[in-house]
Amino acid sequence: MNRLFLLTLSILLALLAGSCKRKSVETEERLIPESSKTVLPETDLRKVTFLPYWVTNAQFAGYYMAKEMGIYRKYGLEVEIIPYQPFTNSWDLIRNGEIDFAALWLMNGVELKASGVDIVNIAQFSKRSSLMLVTKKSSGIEHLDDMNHKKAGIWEGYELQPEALFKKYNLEVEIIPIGSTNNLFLKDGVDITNASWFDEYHSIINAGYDPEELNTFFFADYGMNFLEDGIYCLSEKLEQDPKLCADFVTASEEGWLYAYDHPEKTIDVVVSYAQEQNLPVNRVHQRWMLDRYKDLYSPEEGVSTTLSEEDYLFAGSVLKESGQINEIPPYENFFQHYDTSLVTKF
Amino acid sequence: MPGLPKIFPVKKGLSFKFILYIFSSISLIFAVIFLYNYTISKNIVERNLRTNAKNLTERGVAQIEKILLPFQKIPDNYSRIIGNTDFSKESMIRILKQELLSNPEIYGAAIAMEPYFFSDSEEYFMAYYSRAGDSITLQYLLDGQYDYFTMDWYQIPRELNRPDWSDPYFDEGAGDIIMATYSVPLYRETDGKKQFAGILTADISLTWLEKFIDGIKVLETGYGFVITKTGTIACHPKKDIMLNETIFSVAEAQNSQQLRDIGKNMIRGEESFAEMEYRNISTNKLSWIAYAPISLNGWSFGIVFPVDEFMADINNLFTNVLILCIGGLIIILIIIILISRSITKPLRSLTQASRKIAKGNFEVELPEINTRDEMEELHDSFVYMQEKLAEYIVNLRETTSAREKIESELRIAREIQLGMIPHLFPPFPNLSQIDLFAVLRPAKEVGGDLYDFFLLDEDRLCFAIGDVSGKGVPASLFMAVTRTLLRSVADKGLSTANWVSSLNKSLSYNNESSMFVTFFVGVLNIRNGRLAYTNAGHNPPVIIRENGKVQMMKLASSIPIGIFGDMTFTESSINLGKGDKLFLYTDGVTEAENCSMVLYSEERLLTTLEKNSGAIPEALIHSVEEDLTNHVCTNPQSDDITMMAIVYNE
Repeated sequence: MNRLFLLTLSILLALLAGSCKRKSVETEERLIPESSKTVLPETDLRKVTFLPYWVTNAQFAGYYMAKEMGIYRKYGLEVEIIPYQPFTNSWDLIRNGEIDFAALWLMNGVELKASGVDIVNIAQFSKRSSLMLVTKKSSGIEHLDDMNHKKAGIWEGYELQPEALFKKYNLEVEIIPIGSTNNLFLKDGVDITNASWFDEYHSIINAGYDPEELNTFFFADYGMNFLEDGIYCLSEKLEQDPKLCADFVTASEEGWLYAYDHPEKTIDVVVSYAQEQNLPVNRVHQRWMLDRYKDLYSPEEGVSTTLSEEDYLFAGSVLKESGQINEIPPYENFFQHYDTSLVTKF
Repeated sequence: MPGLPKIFPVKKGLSFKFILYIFSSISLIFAVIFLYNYTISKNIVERNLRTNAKNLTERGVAQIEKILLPFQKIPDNYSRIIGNTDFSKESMIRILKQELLSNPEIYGAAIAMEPYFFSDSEEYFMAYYSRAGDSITLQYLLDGQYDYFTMDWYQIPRELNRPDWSDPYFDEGAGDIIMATYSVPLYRETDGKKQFAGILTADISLTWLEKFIDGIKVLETGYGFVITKTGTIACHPKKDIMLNETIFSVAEAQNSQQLRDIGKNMIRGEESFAEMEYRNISTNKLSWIAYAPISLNGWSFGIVFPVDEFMADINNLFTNVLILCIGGLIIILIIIILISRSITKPLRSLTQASRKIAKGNFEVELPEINTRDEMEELHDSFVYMQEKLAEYIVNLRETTSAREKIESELRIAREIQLGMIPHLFPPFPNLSQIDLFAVLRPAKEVGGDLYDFFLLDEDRLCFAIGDVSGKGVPASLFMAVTRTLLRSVADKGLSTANWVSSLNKSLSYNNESSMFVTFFVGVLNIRNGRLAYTNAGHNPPVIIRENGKVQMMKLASSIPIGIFGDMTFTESSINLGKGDKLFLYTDGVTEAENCSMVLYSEERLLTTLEKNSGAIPEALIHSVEEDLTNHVCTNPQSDDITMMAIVYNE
């Protein structure tokens, strides 16, 4: 009797759950046709390649969502997101014109430009640096001054910013170049490590250190606001097809706004992309990343994609002082905001 | 029948109390026994579980270390061998090859050297032997394409100056199996100083660990898992979280501070045996987690114990016990109800019967009770009570009718007695010279006081007042005799003293009951106001002069009549002036007591009379009566009260 009742109940519940699920799928599906109402025929789509500067993560969620939700198609674009390969020199891909658009950190963009690759920044998304130094409270480093004569694990190739910081504050810090993990820091091999707020900082927390057990030093709080993500292309691309550039940036922006508004769905997409590439991925981390990106980009204040000359010159001067570049390329050559009037209207 | 009202609530109350008190105390006892048993049993199971958890976990750790330790020893030994060589490329590669050939459990082995170790032009030098089927292949990595200096497997042991285990990873080349790399730093001694030269690694498949973990089954849903020093889940039955998640990211996803605390304890190398509860990742049920560190590599081994399943047997047992308890309680409840009914049923019928008896139906039949207990005794008492009540009522009826008869006779006697004394006022409406008023208020139906007045002839008014000793019927009879005798002896010629002597003689004769009467008799000549009188032990009358002066008459001492037959009495006389009044009374007036046993007293009488000296006789008596009523308050009248007032108007 009891079992029969439970069985009936569970069947009913299963049916109910099934119908709910179907409903939610339907509501989600309804979102797509709205944006793809004006989709151009397959043959008319302009083929575009985009290269992120790192492996599949929620830090590129806007691009994935623009692709997945048909936003690129709405703007007449067929975008292929080239998976980032750790051991291929992505700068060559840009230099050779093998990819159309790339996301780069500002410093990398300036360096590339100064090295002679004629790229332009057509939209600067990042407005505040996510870079930080992290120490364990147990190491006794409470203030920047305490870092003197300590060991810092700094990502190889990204030493410039910490070096500039240490120089500005007259600190002698032994820099140990590290790879992509914080394990040396976690295993007490170094006292200081650098981290992105949206990525490694969370990894450290998820390796068993509570935020209360850590001290953080944001570069931006020490007058070193190294801007990050911007969209780049070769300047000849911008000259030849300014409309393509305008459409790509605008669609990507829309993709970001969609991602911020639909975090769960976005995480699903990012996770499925990462899994396709056999990349280790965990949802909690991706969610943290998306949330921090939203904080850093603060889309509620309105997306501004302009790079200020001040921010540009700061990045350039740090590169120049360190000898990474000889001359700072002129601002107007470097930043050429896409022509908003060319964006496809609906 | 004072017990009767108490019987009524018995109908409801007794059964209710029976059920309430007995049933609730039994339920309480059951509950206490049940809870005690349950708690103790649960504690025993929990204690066993902990012991079990401790054994299982420690055994697991021992087994893992048993495999890890010999494996670790291989690269440790080879690093020492290399340390003793000349550090030439050839010898190192030879040793590396030998390491792989003689240890089939090693999948790959590498030597990676510090920058420019061999020459200033060779920044990178890394040789890597790997197994592919039965053969082994050698690869060199000599350029910066693979920048191994910043790799964890190279950098961490270099910085920490000790061997280190990498986090596990999936190795696609070896068939997508889970691997981990053990890295040992190589040191070269130059000039007696040990200098870091490079790293020797060995890759080991962790398939055995995966199998070992998968083989751990604790009841239905319990399982084992391993996390690394950084919290990464190295082995877990849920393959999708392996290497992708840390115990902390799982805790964050579950929003479980508890799991996070467990994780922190685990990476710190602490141990605990099923003392913490948390939600099982797979089943989301409450579970206990036991863990102990794998001290060889800083990882931690844990086992998840499904609490529900461990408790299932005991819960089943106690569910059955609970059902039995409830069943038992229901049976007890039924028995209590039946018993209380069997007790209260005769009580109820006795109650009904007693109500009928109360209504006067003594013939009502009492219920048959043969329980041979207190109930039967109660029943017998009822039967006895019924009989006795019936008897009593019969007696009562007889007594009542007899009393009623006496009372009615007394009423008649009273009427006769009061009829005997003159009671029409004013008595002599034609005689303007005198006015007279008198009252007699017996304390009982009939009394022993008397007064009388009559005209002897046209000029003379005879009046008398007396008080028979005692009260009631005997006194009233004595009074009647006295009054009758007075009328017969009141001769026109003889003096009042002669009358009193005759009365005394007659009353003393055959006076076996020794009754006597105080007596005052006077004859007032209404022509001249002369009053001749004889007193026999009576209270002295009060003379109220026309001018308002009030005084007791001064009388020679005398004794009442009826005691000594040969006593002689003497007559005295006094003149009354116009408007003078005479007030006569019995001791019922002056000796009237109030609640505080205070007498009315002659003084108060005199005061009252003085206040009302101008009043006509009737008003005068009424005012004394009123004052007397005020004095005695609610105290019942104990003696007959008689008053007479005469005014002489000339």
